[in-house]
Amino acid sequence: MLIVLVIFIFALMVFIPFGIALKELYYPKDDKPLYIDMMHSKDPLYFGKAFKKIVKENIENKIIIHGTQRIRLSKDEVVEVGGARNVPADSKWENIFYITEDFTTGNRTILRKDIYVKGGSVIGPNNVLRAIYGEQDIYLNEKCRVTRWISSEQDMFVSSGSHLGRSTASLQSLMLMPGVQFESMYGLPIMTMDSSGKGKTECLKLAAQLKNFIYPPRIPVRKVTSWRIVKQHISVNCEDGNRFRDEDDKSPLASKATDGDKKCFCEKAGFAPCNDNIWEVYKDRVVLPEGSRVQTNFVSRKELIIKKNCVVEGNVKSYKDLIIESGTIIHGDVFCEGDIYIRKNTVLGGNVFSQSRIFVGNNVRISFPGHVKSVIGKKRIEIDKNSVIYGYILAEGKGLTPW
Amino acid sequence: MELVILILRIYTIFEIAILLIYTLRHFVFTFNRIFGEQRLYYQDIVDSDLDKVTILVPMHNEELVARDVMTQLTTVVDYPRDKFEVIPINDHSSDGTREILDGFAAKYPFIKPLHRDEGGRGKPHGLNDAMDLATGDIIIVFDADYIPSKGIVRDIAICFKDQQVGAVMGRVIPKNTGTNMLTRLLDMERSGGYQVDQQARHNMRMVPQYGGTVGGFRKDVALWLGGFNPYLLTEDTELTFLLFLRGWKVVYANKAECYEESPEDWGVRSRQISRWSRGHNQVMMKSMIPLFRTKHLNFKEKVDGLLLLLIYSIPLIMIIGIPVSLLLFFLGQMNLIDMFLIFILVAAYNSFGNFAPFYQIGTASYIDGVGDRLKLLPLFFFGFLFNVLYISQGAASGMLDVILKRNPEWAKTTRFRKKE
Repeated sequence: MLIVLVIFIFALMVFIPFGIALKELYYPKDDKPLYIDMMHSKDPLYFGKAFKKIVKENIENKIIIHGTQRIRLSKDEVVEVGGARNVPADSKWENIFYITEDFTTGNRTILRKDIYVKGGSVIGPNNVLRAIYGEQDIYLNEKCRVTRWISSEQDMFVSSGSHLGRSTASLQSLMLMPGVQFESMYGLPIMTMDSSGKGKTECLKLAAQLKNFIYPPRIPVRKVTSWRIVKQHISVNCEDGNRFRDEDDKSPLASKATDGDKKCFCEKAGFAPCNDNIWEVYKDRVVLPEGSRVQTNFVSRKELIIKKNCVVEGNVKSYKDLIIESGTIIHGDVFCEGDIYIRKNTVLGGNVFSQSRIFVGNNVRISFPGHVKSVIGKKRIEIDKNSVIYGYILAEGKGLTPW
Repeated sequence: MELVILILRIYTIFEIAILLIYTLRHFVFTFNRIFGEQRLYYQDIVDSDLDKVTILVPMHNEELVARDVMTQLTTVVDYPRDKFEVIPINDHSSDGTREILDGFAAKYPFIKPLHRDEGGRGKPHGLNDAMDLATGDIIIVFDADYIPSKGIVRDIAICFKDQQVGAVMGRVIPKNTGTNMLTRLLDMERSGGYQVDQQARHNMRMVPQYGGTVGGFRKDVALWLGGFNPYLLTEDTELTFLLFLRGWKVVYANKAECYEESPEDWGVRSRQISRWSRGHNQVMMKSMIPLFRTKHLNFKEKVDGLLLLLIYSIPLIMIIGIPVSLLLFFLGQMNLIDMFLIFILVAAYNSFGNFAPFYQIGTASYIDGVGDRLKLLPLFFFGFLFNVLYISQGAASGMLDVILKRNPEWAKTTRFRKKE
């Protein structure tokens, strides 16, 4: 009897999973293909465009009288439609705003729904808002917090201490003061400024100065058919012990290395030419000496330091940290598995991509006017003052302009 | 007799070791996807200076599906038209494929069909001829039954901004999932293969595989490598290893998703998987020694490359293992190690090891956010038996191809889409 029971239980345990499987097979509950958004395409202006489309279809193309009313957007929403609007301080709003003229808010206002403004917008200090789209300039005062997105067809100013939401986009200049936190930003250009407490006019003056920067001639990078590995090599103990020091620190980087220890070594990869053996290769890092000019694409498997005033007419990739010292110009793309440190007064013509962190120094230029490039860091991006970036920034972790 | 027993014992220990290594591999990949750090892919890069792209669509008697893929490429796919051309490769078709392609070419100047009526037939031949005509720097390949989405070309092309990237592989998702048991199993198998296996290898900077479709490569590099060998049945696996052996990288783009039509018939599936196994093992025979010798790969990449090369040989090793262990059993020679240890190992392996691939598939389904289809997992037992049989058959053929210097014929997978 016991044996029969054991066999029965065993058979039950074996066949139950198959029974469940057969039920799903013949009476399917979940047999649809996995969903692909067939119309998805990367667009940093997506949120603003999508909201504008909804507004155009449901408000602008219909005759809507001014006042608060229920309107069908993507779902039924309470919408305040009106001309110039000044939202009082310390108030909370649960409705969408559709404003045909200028829009201003007082201190500590909370706006829980999206805002569409055809005129200019001035958001008061300490405001919390979900999303705003402006057809003209948007000025965000100190310590505002955007929970979703902010988009402008013209200039955008973001004051100190503000926390931008998931996406920030401006079709013209996006000006950031110190202490701003962000996730993704798009601007032509994005500028970081040292103008805390200054008004819009001062900001515009500073922006004009930053835009007046005279760029070096742009050299298009040759088509990538090959690259070179600056080869792992050498035999010395370079005990600099201070890898990320300030560029003004004059102590020699490889103080313990002698001429005999230094060895330049390039390896032919693909059909790359290999004729400028100017690298200094150490046990733990590779150094491009000050003032060097390189015309090939190159890859470093160890920490890479591009010293002051170098010109690189190719793409750069490093499997460890990358330090680009002041005055250097890189015309190609920069990819890095470690941290990227971009010191002051450098010019980068291509994309900057790190699987770790990116630190952009003072007065750095990334991308040339008329071109759109990206700065993407997985863990963190910090952009110091007076830097100008034409294009897109994405910090999957934390992005900020330091105080 | 003693020598025979010794050989049988060594083989059994070898087989156990191999299976344990692959079990571990499945677990490492699965845990990486659940708990590990996920590597950022390049699709978020926004760049106004995109490379010129040539899309190649190999076709042989594809009138059932040609119109769909061409419509997607002409009206949906979003890429600057001055940097975009499409070369559908009409490879000795005898149905209405030519007329369909010429119709699109008349309407869209960037469609430049290549009609191949002479010369060798097969995908590698077609790709080689088309590459000679292509003006793009980047070649992206879609099979004729694929349905590309709006952003997929940009998402694939953008990662060639990383100068070391030689090829990119996107993710394939079956469209005809609900048709029958086979398509439902293939849907989950695909999920496991891409969502966990490929992505984990990408995360861990190992050896993701270029799969020959929904993916791209640098034209100049492919030409420099000599184009595709028409006598290899898996030109994609060959390209993967040729690139890695020369220091280029292959990256996996999990977000570059594309619908495909999976086989709805067990016979078609058996021929498909047998062909893959045959081709993969041809590549294994050619690439194994260079893999050990190359200076461009680190130890981790070499180990992963080796396991990838061997993957279609494992079912053959297992099949051979069955008579070997039976022989040892009847000869009374199964006491390889202490019985208690064997019990522990067998229990542990049955609890975890046997199901490692199922964990991978289950994890992929979980990440994909699906629900009830996970109940189908026990049916993979039958899929497993089927795969073991046909992969072994293909593996044996592939190894013999290289040893006997045979040149196998390329065979197209039958389409199941209904005629409109």
